[in-house]
Amino acid sequence: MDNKTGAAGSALRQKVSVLVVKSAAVLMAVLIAVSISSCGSDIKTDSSRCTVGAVLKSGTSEYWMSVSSGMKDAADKYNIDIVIMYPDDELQDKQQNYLAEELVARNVDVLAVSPIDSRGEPDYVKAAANKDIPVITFDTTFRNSGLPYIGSDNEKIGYELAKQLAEAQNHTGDVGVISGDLNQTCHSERVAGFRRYINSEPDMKIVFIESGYANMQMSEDKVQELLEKYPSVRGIMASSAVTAMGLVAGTKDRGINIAAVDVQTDAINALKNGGIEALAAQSGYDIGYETILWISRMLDGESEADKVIINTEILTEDNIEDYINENENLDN
Amino acid sequence: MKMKTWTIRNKILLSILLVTASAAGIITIVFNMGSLDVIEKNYSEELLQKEEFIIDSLDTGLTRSYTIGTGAACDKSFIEKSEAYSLTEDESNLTDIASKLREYASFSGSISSMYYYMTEEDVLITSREYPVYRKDASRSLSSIVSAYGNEDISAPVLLRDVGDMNSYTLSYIIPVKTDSGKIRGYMFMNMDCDLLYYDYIADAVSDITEEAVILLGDRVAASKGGDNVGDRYSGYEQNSKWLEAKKAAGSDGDYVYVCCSGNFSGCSIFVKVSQNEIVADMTNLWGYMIVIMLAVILAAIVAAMYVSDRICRPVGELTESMTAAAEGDLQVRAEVESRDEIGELADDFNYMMDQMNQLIGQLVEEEKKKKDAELEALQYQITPHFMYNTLNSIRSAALIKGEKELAGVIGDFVQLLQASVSKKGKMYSLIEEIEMLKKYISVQEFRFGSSIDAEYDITDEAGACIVPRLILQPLVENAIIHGMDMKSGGRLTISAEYSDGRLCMKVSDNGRGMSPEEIDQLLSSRERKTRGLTAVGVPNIIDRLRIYYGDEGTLAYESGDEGTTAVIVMPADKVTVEFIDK
Repeated sequence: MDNKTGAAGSALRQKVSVLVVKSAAVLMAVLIAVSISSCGSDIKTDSSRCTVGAVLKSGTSEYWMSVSSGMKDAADKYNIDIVIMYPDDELQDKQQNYLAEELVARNVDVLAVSPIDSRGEPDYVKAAANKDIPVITFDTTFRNSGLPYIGSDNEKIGYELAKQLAEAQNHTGDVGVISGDLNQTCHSERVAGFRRYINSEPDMKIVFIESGYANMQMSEDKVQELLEKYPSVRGIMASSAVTAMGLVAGTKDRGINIAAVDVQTDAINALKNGGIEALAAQSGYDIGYETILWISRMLDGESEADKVIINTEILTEDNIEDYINENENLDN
Repeated sequence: MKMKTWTIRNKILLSILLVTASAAGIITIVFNMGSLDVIEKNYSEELLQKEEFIIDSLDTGLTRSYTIGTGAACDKSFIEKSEAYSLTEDESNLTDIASKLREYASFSGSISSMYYYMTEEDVLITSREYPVYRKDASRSLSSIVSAYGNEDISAPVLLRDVGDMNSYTLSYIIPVKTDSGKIRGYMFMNMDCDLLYYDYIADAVSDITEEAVILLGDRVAASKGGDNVGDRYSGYEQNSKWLEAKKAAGSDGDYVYVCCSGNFSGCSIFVKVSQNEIVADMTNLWGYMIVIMLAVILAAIVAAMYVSDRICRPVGELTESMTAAAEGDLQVRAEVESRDEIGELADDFNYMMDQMNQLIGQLVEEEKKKKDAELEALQYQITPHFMYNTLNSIRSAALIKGEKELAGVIGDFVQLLQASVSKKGKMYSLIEEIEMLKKYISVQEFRFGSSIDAEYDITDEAGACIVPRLILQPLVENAIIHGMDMKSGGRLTISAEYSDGRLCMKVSDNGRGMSPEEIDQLLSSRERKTRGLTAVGVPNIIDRLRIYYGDEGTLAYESGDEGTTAVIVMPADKVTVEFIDK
């Protein structure tokens, strides 16, 4: 019995030894093969990233810089290449057309544009359609184009800012508007919203609407001229914070309530100090980011709404601190 | 014993060395190859990032350049000046345009120069110091712009520099349109290819860069050696798999390749680096690694020798002890102090040797007792001495009656009896045995009534040897009873000689002889002897010879027609030391 047990144990040990040796040999061979095979001749290519051409209205204001920043951040996150171009200022529609044409000619995958001139449909939109290059608009759209739009509800912004001015003026008195180019839908819609509310106030009326001051300061002389021409005006809506800051300086100590669109640091401070009555916190960063996000989802085949409205908070002295706390980079 | 070809120590030594060398070699190879792979991958990734940054910078510069160009193209003053010149041919309009161009060109460092080409007037105005403007602009320039015509102008192009036809510029051509859409001229935004080299290629290359080019399509815009600018890139097909990707990095075993394309300009930068140069430092480490590996193996040898010595010393000790035991040294013990399987084996071996010694001692003791018992039994076959006392009395009576011959026979017989039953030692000298034989023969002559012719040839040296009692008597008895014919005169010869420690005794008769079968039967018979003087027969002689002398004591018969001879050979001295009773 002992002899049989010993023989069986010896046979088992021999089998185990052979198995261990074979396993070790295979493991070594695999290790060496993996090491050898991992060397050289790998091609890592990336031709799958899409290129978005974005044409802004400008690149010099804090608002447009934040739009650009939002676009770049979203492009990094969603692995999209982006080319951002902008004309010298928001009045250079012809230059903007050149830029958009060049992007279409470069066969970008998507064209995103915030048109300086919302009228009609420029040639580059047709050219893009011919090349099956999707075109979307942001911040401002073309009138009646049906193109996708990402931006604020500008009509509502105008309406709400008018309401704030009315509150500040006890729902009486004259008001005026200093707007960007009314050929741009964003500005025209704000004016329309502003008008809609003022029309609901029986004791208030709009006495002037000046256009062409998108992200531009009205000269002090011009401000004085307006005030002299319309001495009854007690409230002014400016279509941009840059314009509003010019008004703040020009209307100092005149007790004129100012409401504006866009948040930037100096405007925030002016709101806190009482120089501005209300600000429509249109976040250029959010608009830029959401635009690229929309494009990313579209490229992934997800169906998206043709209109994406970015919520715009109306800031007053009551909620400005909360807003600053939520957006720490706005506080000086 | 089997011949040893490989000792356990050598096997352990070799095993440790093989394992160590294999492990060291494999680890070195795997580590080295893995390191090479990591280095190459890291290098190619870093190079890719670097080239991405470079091409992004180039793209940013070109984007800015183009934007400025579009601004200039929208600047109505160019058209106004063009119209003014067209009407008046006042060259001050051209210099004004040149100034305006210089102003725009200063907006970006990416702009080396700007041209404004007035299509209708075929005049080229530059932002350069020289030429400021050129009338009848070269046909090539005209043909370039006419080729674009009303088509979409896209992407930068490579043009020969108007100021230096041996140089090239990377240029955007932007149509300048009137309000009605008519193309009035073209704005050229130029980046000198020399600028491309110094601002971008110079950053892309290092000492180990084999090749670095900036391509516009398949044409060289800038290259490491500054060669072939404007020409088609000679390596385009060869490197197409890299160049056709938007961003690519990898290697083919000989070189690392990186290629990135600008999103706006479409320009691409392609860099090729020798893989050997990348891993040169690592390759140089090979020598160090081999030295280290050899050092490790050397250390392993030393360690292996120490380990194997520690392991094998107890085994060697045990082996030597077992070898000595196998050669007959039953007193050897293995001195192994290790507390492992070898130690257990040594303990068991020592115990086994103790048991073996004890067993052998018991066997020797038992054998000795057995021999003593046999000898005692042999000796005490003889009848007690009261018989010869009685016989002495009878002899005396015979003498009294004057029967001297009878008394002599009785006296001889008494001595025979005394010799056969004596307890005084088992041995005596051969001379004493011969004297006893003479008395025996005398008695036998009386019995048979005839004389027996007995001859004795005993050397002095042989006679002094010690022999067992009654060692020859049975042989003489057989010869007398069986071998000789008394009536016809039998002759008996008893001889003995001593040589080299051996005593040879012979008892010969001239009888009828014995057949081999009779000899065999005689030598092998175990039948108890009942006739003759004693019960001691030939078998007893054989037994006693074996007991006392082992294989060295022999009894043999030689027989023929002339008689039979019994021969006893035995060692004489040996018996003298061991078996003589005190």
